[in-house]
Amino acid sequence: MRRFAGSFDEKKRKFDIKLVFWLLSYVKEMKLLMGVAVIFLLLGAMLPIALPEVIQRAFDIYIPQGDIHGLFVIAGILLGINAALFFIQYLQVYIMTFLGQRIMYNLRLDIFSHIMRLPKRFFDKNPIGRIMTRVTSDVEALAELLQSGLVLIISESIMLVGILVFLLFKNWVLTLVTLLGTIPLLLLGMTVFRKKITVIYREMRSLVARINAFLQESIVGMDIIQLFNRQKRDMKRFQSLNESYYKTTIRALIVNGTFFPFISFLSIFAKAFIIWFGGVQILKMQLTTGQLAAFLIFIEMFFKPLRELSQSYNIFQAAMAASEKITSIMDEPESVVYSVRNGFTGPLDGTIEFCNVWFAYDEENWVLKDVSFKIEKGETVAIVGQTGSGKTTIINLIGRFYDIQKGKILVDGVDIKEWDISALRRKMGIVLQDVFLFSGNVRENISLYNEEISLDEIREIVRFVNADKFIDKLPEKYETLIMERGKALSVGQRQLLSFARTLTYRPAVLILDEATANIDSETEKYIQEATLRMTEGRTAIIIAHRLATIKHAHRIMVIHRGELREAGTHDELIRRKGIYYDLYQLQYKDQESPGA
Amino acid sequence: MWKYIKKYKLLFFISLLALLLVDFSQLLIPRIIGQIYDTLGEEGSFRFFLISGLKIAGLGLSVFAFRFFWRIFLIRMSRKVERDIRENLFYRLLTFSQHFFGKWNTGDLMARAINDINHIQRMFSFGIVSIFDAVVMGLMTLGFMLSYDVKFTLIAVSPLSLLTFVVLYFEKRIHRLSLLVQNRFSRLSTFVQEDFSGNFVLKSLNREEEEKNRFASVSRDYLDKNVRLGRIQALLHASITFIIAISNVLVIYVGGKNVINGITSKGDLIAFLSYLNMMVWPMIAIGFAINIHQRGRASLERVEELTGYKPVITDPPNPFLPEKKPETLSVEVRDLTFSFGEGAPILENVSLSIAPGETVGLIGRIGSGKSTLVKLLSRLLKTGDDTIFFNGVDINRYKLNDLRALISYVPQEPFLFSTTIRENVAYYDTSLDDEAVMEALRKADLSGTIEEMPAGLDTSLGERGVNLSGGQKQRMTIARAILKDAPFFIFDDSFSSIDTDTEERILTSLAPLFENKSVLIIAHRISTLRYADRIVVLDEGRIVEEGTHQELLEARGAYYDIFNRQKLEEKLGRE
Ligand SMILES: Nc1ncnc2c1ncn2[C@@H]1O[C@H](COP(=O)(O)OP(=O)(O)OP(=O)(O)O)[C@@H](O)[C@H]1O
Ligand SMILES: Nc1ncnc2c1ncn2[C@@H]1O[C@H](COP(=O)(O)OP(=O)(O)OP(=O)(O)O)[C@@H](O)[C@H]1O
Ligand SMILES: [Mg+2]
Ligand SMILES: [Mg+2]
Repeated sequence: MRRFAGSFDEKKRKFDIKLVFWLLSYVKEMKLLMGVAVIFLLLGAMLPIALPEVIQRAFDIYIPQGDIHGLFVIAGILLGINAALFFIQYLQVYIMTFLGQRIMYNLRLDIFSHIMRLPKRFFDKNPIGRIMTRVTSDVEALAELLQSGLVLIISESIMLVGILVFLLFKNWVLTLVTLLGTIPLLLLGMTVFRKKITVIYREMRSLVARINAFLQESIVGMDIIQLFNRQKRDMKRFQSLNESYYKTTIRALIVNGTFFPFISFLSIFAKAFIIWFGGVQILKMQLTTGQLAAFLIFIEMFFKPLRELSQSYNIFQAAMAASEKITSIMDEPESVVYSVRNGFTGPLDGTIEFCNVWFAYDEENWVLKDVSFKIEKGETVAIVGQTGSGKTTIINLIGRFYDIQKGKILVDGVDIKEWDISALRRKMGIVLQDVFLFSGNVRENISLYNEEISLDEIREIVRFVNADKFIDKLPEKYETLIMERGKALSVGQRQLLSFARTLTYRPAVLILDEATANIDSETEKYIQEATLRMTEGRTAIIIAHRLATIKHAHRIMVIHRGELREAGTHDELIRRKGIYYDLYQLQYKDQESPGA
Repeated sequence: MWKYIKKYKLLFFISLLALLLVDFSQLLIPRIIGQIYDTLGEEGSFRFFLISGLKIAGLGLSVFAFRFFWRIFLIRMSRKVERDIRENLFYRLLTFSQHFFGKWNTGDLMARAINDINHIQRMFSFGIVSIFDAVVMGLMTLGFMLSYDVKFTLIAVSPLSLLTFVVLYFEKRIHRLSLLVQNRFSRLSTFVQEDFSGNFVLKSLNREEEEKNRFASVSRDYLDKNVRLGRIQALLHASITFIIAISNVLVIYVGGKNVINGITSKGDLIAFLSYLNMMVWPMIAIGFAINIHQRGRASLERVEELTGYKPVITDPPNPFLPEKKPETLSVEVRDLTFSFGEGAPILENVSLSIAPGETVGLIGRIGSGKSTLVKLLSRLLKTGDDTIFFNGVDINRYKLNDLRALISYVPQEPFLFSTTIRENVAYYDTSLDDEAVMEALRKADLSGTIEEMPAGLDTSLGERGVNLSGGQKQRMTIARAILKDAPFFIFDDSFSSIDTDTEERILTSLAPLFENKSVLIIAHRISTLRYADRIVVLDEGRIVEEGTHQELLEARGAYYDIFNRQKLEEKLGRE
């Protein structure tokens, strides 16, 4: 895991060097291939220089001598060199592609696994579409730099220096004069260019992310958009995003469109300059015509890599903008749960204790206030309370998805902060309130791609939660694709599957957060019986609004506005005539006299 | 392709003209330099060099200007095309129904809207330039060569005919591989979209490592396809260079022999070779052109697969136009049968009516087709003609917007957008003032919660409303429907995450509102159905019972069983 060091600030550009180092850390792994690619590229550039020499021989020696055999040999040699060039060129491009793709692969993997380890809080705040961009488009924006740019920059720079030295040897006066006439202009052009283009590219990356986020949300919520006749307004919003993107690309275009022709103008300008300057020198008899002609050809050789480099410079700037975005997400600290070293690894027994726990999602808005309780191993505890009272929050804390501000949470007597996170969560089976299924088939959604879990085992669990009835009716049974988020299933069916999924891993602590809210009472009855068997000897925490759901609980805790108000058995609570009693009365009364 | 350019003909042709002028100016420069050599032997004067230098500088300026122009015009055009295609894509998406979205992955659609359109944009800019360069420069050079020596030209061109095969061979492969690469990118995007959306679940299932491995294999696949594409591209470029080289060698050999035999002069051969050299760039440009073009075409196909998709649910050709928005709505379902595609029917012979002012409760096992029925009512799914009537008119005859304006729908899964609470609640009509919004929230029993939030109505919600509790989300969607205030209200299991106490408060506060509305409430809890005038029991897509609570209890059928079970459980719970 490579982390981008140093604090990251969107506005300052002095971190360029750091970005480059960060990218280079990925290149380093590939340095061997990189070297090979550069050598091939240089070979590919040098070998053609030999060609005129060979052709020269044909014209200077064999043709005047009328040696047809010699001519044939020359043709053979030429063909040979070209064949070699063919392989060199092929391999060079191939290696460069492989290299670039390989680096992108490593990068993607790192970004992905880093993002997956960011705290839940991060996902609460950032749109999925935008986060996705970091792994998809932003990495893709590096492709050009990694695939050809990098190798090109290295080899063209080498070539540039080589040619410069060569030119200095040939005619240092002309060389220096040309350089003096053009380099300052070149540098000036590059500085202005960089200043303008980096801002624009950065903006482009942000816009792509915003378009992505907007698309993501619109696609996912399309039925709501349509039901509320929002199409026109959303179209407008998309148009304006798309239009800003367009305008930004046009700004980039104008900068680029000035810069590149400027470079080729410089090369022509240099030629004109040399002709004038050289001409004067010829008149002064300080230079021969042949020398001037040769020099003109060489100067072209000098500008070719320079032009290539200026192209790469643009690619480089675009890549920097993407790297900036990527590193800014790489800078987000991973969830602290992963940094526990030599954590307690259990096995999880199932005692859970809250000691004066205070918790807020933001700053000071306490969602849990001084909550204390202890759940013994093997106990089934129900949590009830009004909506928004903090029940799900308690679950979030037991799984350590957030860290508390005050107090202590002990699991098996060990502070939750000292637990090895995977040991803790592995044996903790949580059925979340918000069901989430994956787009695979039914079997994969239950086993979660774990090959070790056999179909028989899956069948058993499915029967356990009474989901076999509907699965058997699906067109391809366990192989039926259930689509994104399981949208080809009814909501209740989804809930059953997510229930089954949790049971598959035979958790030591079972936590059900409204796990049967969307399930009819007949099916629920089966599930309850199953859960009862499941939870025997295990700790279970059940949250439910339907009091019937919690009838098997040993103990009931009533949460009210973030405080634990009542706790005890059903009878104790009824006798107390407190909040629970009211809740119970209400539901019970409804059963007796419906249609009020 | 032309259909996209058509709109920007002017830009397109101007840019082609500029390109032509660039090529032309560039051809002129060697001529002037040639002139210098020619005159050098004679009298070179100070003035002559100055003028030649100035001429070249002038040409340089014009190359600069025309290069600038073609870029500005052509790339601008391609960016406009890009913008149009993306806009059109989104526009089309807005018209697709759940029949479409049920089959497509979000990540895939996103990949097409961003990544594929990028490739298309390249096709419309650099793709066009390469083709143009290849053709114009190629033809110009060919012209020079022909005017110089026909025989040599034929010799030179003969290997170039190989090019045709090369082009054909590579075109097909690059196209196919590009499709594969883009397809794998879609998979990557889908994977990432899914894993980031389900991040919380994955964490709770302790799957970070496994997902990383799965992601590795998905990106590995993408890498492999890319490398395969890269290899074929490498082969293409190398082959083209090699073909030109063969042509060069051939001319040297045959031409050399001719020189030896005194047929041609050495000078002519050298000059011809220099022309042949000018052929290199157009040939390489062909390689680029094939590459960019095929990638772009593959992407265009993928995008057109979407834009060309015919929406299943559309406005009718001769819509029924109500004079004014009806105040009340009578709903009638007649003998409705529905199935997804070829599958078994989800709903069979369902008949149901809801009169204005009536509240109908719908109960039934999971997967019995309740949500499907509701989606059919709101035309999120397609229903046959003469099956569902609003105020006596077939719903297929309404314009979609008119129809949906009649329905306030609370979906089973609460979906909220990542904007402020105000915008989410006043989603139908953003012009409503805070008072109206708060009133709706009060009815949904949320006003207290909102008032406690530091930012109140301006509180920003996370995507899907992640920073709310389950019940809060559900009530938010109820408030949203209340504000829409249509004559027909649908609650699809909308109280499942709400405690009975709150539920009672909400339904009581809604009673006056419902006075002349048609209301359909779907629920699993009998307690939720207590406000229904009539209750319908659905089982495996059929209506098995219908009547008031009392009637159904007396009938001792399915409803009675449900009632007893829930009651029994309550009793059990008490013991
Ligand atoms: N991710 C979050 N960020 C900020 N606030 C949150 C977040 N999740 C929940 N809250 C707030 O914390 C409070 C308690 O929410 P919680 O989800 O624990 O309620 P709950 O008891 O489970 O309610 P319900 O029965 O509706 O599910 C609510 O006011 C909610 O708005
Ligand atoms: N897009 C789809 N493609 C194929 N089958 C589907 C699709 N959506 C739903 N189904 C199937 O149609 C049946 C009815 O689903 P529906 O969502 O209407 O049930 P429901 O009565 O609302 O159940 P619940 O109480 O669980 O919400 C289910 O068996 C489900 O598997
Ligand atoms: Mg909750
Ligand atoms: Mg449903």
